[in-house]
Amino acid sequence: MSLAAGISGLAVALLILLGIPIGFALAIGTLAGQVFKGQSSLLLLPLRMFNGAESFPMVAIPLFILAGQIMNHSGISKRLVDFASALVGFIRGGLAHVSIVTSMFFAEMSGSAVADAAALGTVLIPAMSRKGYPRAFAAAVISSAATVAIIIPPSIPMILYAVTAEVSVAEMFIGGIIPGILFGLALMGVSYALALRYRFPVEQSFRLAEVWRSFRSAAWAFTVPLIILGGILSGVFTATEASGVAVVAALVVGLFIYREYDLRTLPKTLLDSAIQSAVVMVIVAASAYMGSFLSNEQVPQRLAQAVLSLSTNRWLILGLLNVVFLVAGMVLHSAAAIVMLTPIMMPLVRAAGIDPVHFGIMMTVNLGIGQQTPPVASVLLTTISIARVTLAEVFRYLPYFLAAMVVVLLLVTYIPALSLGLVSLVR
Amino acid sequence: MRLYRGMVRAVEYLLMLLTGALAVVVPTGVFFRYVLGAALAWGDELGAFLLAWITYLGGVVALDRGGHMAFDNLVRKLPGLWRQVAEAASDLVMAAFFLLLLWSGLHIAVQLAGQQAISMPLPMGAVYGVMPLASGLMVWVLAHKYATAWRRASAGAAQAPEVAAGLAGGHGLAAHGQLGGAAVKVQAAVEAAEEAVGQ
Repeated sequence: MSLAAGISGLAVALLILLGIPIGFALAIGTLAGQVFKGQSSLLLLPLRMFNGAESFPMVAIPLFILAGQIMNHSGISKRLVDFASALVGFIRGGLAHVSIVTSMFFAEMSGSAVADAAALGTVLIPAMSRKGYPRAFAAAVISSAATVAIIIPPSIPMILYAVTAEVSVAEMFIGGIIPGILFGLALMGVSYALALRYRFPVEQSFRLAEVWRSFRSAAWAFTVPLIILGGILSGVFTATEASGVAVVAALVVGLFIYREYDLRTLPKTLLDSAIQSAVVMVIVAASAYMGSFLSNEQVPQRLAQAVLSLSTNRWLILGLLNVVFLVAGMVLHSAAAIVMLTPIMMPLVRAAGIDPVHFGIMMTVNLGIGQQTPPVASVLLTTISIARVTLAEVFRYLPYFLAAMVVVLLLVTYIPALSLGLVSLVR
Repeated sequence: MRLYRGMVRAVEYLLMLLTGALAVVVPTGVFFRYVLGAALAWGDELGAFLLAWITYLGGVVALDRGGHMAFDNLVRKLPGLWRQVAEAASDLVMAAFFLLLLWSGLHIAVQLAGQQAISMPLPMGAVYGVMPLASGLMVWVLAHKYATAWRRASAGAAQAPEVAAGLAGGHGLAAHGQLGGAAVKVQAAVEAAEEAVGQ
């Protein structure tokens, strides 16, 4: 590894530890490396930072956030919870299953796990608490279930990965469907086992008429995911176009069909979406700047050579990458980890003959686990603040869910067909 | 103070407009492509520009709210004074970086003033103008944080019953007199400038 790249890496690490926002730390560290190389072309800095943020595929990020928030304020959560209750409320530990299934439906509308945890946690944690579930258990369920949001499309981390790794966003979305369902089922399995052990109640008996009634009430809420998935799967829309259509559809459903969306909240929603995307995009732009510097320094290529000289076994390399991402996921936000690590890892991934879509899905599932593991655990911390429980209390239940997630991660890692099966239908 | 709040408000309104525009441009592009059968030539380019503007102006508001993604777990565990030193050091590094970005961004904006965007009559100098604009505003955000802390510290504890968490570092620093004369002059200058423009 070149000295300049080493210096810039070290600078980034120190600046992040000093508490400087990750995006600015990346840019400053890169600049330090360039100055050390004597490439004092300071005028490149604003150009690179601007060009890193100026990306049409990434336009999907603010628009998916916007569509999700409009749906959130349109009274769909209530209807989705009703539908999920009719569907899985009869299983022991009913509300836990309802939370997980609602979260899977919700995941089709929003691409952010923190948003899901906040939206569902405020409704379902008090409900579970009233039914006699421990609040800490409720928090563990909601927090783990919210992670499905980044695996089931649309998914903001997947957009970030697809653009950085130069693969199709649509293929990533399609690849996430089966792993996402698997993830949900694994969490339901854990909830069932815990429900038996702690004698959690059943919610309601299963009646087909009730399923149908609640489905009809919730049906409009499904139009948005239908447009997104249908449009992208059939190749009619690009992901960005789908995000734009999703905003329009969400407004139509909220304003004219459910009539629960208050247009006066739109300016604040626009502002929130702007800031949430900006916070991610600053890191994206700075990473692009750093990425181009590192590949000039041949860092990713040398990393690939170094690893491949040790072993060319694809399964071993995938295992190794998983360990790297699990560690990265503990100390970095998933978005930051993706845009920082993807450019460095891609030459290795391609040289080892790993399908980049399979790798991307694996990385997403892996970093989903990272959202649950302190010190940086955005989803978990959001949820426990809603549930008003401590980290220690949640950790009475959370390890069971984490274990299930690791099992899913191993399945996704070592059975590529789970990610690539559906993708091969459209390739 | 009032001028500063006004600036943040203005940036917030601009962000609402830009995001609203994005939510109109993308579906319009879809409408043109699928319904009218003729793709909108400028849709993609304008969308990408809007996103870049949202990114950096959103960065200004996020800095004001302390909303940027950061790993502050370590700094928050430091004992009082060390924590303030660390916060001041990181603010200084950032301010230096933003000043550099302001200077180089101005150069780029001037150099590209005559150049036009590919698909629409928009001077690229203005498009890139968001870089110096946003970095200048971010310097203001950082300077304001210390100016406010200084004002509160010198006004005495009685007048500062409630100091926002984000200001605590700067507040303590100014109170401890750790920053020295130079920073005090900067604070005074910022306040004077804010008041002068405000009148």
